[in-house]
Amino acid sequence: MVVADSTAPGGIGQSGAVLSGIELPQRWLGPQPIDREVDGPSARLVDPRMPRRSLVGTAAGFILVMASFVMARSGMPLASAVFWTGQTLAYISALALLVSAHVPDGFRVGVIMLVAAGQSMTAYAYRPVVFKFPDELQHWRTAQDLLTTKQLFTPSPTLPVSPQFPALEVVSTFLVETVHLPLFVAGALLVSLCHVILAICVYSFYDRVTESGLVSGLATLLFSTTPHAFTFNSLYVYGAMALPFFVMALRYALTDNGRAVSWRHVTAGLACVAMSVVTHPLTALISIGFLALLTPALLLLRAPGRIAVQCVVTSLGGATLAAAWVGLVARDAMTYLGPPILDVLTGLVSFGGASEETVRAAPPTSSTLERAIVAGSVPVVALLIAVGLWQVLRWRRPVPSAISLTALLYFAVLGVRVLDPRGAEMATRGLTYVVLFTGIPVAVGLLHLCGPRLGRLLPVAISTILVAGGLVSGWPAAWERLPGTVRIAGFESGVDGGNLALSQWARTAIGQDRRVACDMMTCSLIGGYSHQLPVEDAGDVYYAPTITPEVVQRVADLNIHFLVVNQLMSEQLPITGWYFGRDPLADQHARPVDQRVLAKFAADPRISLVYDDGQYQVYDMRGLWNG
Amino acid sequence: MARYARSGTSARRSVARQSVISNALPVVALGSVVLALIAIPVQSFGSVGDVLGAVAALAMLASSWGCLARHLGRTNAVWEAVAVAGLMVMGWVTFANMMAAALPGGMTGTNRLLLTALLPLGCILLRDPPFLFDPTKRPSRAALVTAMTCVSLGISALLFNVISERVWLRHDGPALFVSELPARTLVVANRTGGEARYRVLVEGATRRIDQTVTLQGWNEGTLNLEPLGPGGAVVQVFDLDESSSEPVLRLSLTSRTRGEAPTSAVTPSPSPSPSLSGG
Repeated sequence: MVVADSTAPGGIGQSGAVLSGIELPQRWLGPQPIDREVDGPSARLVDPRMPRRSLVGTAAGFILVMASFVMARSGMPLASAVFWTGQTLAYISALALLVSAHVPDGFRVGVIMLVAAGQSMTAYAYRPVVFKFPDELQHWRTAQDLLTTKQLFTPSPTLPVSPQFPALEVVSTFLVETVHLPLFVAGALLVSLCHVILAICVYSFYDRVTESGLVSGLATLLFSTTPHAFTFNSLYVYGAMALPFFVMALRYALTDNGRAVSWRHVTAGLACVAMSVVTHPLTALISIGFLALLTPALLLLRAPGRIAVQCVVTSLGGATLAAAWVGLVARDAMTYLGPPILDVLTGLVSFGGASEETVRAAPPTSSTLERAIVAGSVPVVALLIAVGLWQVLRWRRPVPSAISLTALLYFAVLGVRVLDPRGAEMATRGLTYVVLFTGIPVAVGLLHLCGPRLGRLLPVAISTILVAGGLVSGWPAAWERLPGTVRIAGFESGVDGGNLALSQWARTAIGQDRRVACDMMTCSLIGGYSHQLPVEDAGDVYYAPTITPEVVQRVADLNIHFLVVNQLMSEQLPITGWYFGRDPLADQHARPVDQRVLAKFAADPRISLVYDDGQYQVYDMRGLWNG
Repeated sequence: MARYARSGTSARRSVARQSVISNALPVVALGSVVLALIAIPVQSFGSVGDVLGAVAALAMLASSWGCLARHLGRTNAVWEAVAVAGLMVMGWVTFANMMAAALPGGMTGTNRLLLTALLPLGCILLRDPPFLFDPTKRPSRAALVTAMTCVSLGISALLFNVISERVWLRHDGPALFVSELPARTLVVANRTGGEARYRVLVEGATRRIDQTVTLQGWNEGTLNLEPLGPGGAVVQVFDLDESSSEPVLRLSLTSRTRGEAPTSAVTPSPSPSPSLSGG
């Protein structure tokens, strides 16, 4: 498929001369006229050392972050300081280049790629031996099933929807089968590549819309600092692979060839939506929804009808593909996406009062300063969107204006954050997509407010607050920002040598697809690496003081074959608020579980203790209920 | 090439070199397909076939990516063309491999390689001028040294992380477990790094086993439970390097876990409650 972008007025792909119609760079650059020597592919570089200093600073920052991980695992006291120094150096160095005029596009793309590569490398350095995040372990299981059965769509109990959207696993297992890479290496390489390509796609999208390297570079960096961009989008999760296709679908749908509907671009956009459809249900849904949403905005702003037609056709075509895929293959997609969407809607309609979902308001784990940064960055973004939107509307160009109008979805995301019980998770996921639209007005607003006289200092300072806001509200959470600490049920920090060794033992010793009760992270490992069926709602069995007939019946009802006791339960409170995936006492734990309560299994003669390493014990529960 | 005609001999050489590399892409694409066809029957001979297959697969991906990027580079910026070409390769690998599931044998390495090979075959047909990176703007020696230093430091930092994570993940202390179910063999694992001496005491219904095990480094010792006779057993492990008389680890095996008939009679409800989680 060949996609060529010709230039013509109207939408993406306008000629460079239109730059002189944009007020922003003129204001930013003072009375100096805007031309390709100032802001464009062949801008004249005034200070040849500046890009090099910036690139080296960014690289050095990420190297410091990786060094801080080594220090943290060794228990060195300055690890946190080195981590923050590295992050600050990396992003301030990148920002210094991106807010400068007289920088050719190549350097801007270079520093953006470096930031994306740095994020991927730090995500890898954080867990450089095995996947640890629960979602990664769910996709690991799907990939392992693909390698074992050689067939698609093998049901997965840990994430039923994962085998039905198998693109991530298909490509990574291709590298395993043909290049003979270990699955961990193949998966990490694939998502890292996708992350770097995503950064280029986002820059390309902004560049086509604004035709300004200055705005595009800054907007792309802001996109790269959403809460999920730092680590989550570099994890072995299907969303990581779908994101570049999401961006390119929008870019092709909005590309104008100046004459008529470009069916080549519609086809390219549809191909991108098709990839999203087989990769990640949420991204596919959002791609289709955003294209549909952009259409009335384009018509309202009097965009050429051909662009609106391209959006409608891509959206409808994508919806047809998605419906066919869901109808024929991905039947679990509705049960997967339906409840969270209904929850969000219920939360919004009832103003936060009427959701049946258990409210898991985890105890505040970040410092007051971090909470203040997050809270402070919200009004800053809101102000920048307002100012930027006003400026972009004055350009009188429909495509950038429509995109900037869509940025108002940011306030809907804020509403979800405040009003939905699972708001933090949903809002963070939503921001990944919505920030593609807020990027332009925020960057324009920032440059406009700061103006030329304040030089680079103020935009860098404000952007640093935004970056810090994304970093502290993103993943990993504050309690595990640095590796080297073990916390029960603490996501990555809940994985240690003990439960990893246990999961390897379980795969060979107890067979596969046994029902195993366990704490949250042990269940993730057991489900992923051991190919067992984790039982995550056995909290009442653990909390019962003694083994009564009711407990025995509960064990029988849950069909528990094996039960894992993690002695950390008697030493630590769960940092997340819950020990188990579905904990009946979630957010009610005042003290760790009594050690004597956990010892009840060892005292019962019907139960075998088959694994003990001092911290983890595995009990064979089948003798209790004839399993 | 004409646009660099005045840039001097060095620039002309650079352009010529770029043209050679660029023109080699279809040849590499064709070569990768031929190599894959050779590798597929040889794969049954083990590592030679595996290496050939790996080289063929990598060459397929790289040459297709290069050809597509060169083609898209006619109308797009270089970095944009490279990114979009990467997505196209990824998309093809996805759909070709999914189609491989319909072939006899399913998604085997051979089927995957065969269907993926259609992409480089198609790319051979693309006839485009080479990418031309401006030869007059070659990076200085200092810039190259700086870049190489950053890359080396980055890779070193990654390697240090691998080492430190491996050390951190080592479970510190011994472990005791059955090697399979029904339990016939017992395993004592020394996970302390140095030498450790353990006393393993197994008490069955009628007989007992009392053994001392010395394990050097990260090793495991096994103990056959067959001589114990039928019935349940209690296993205790004492660390002989510690003064405490308390066992450091303990197992209790019922007769059922050892492979004898079940005795309990509680039956589960007809349908177990769900215990699946979403991601």
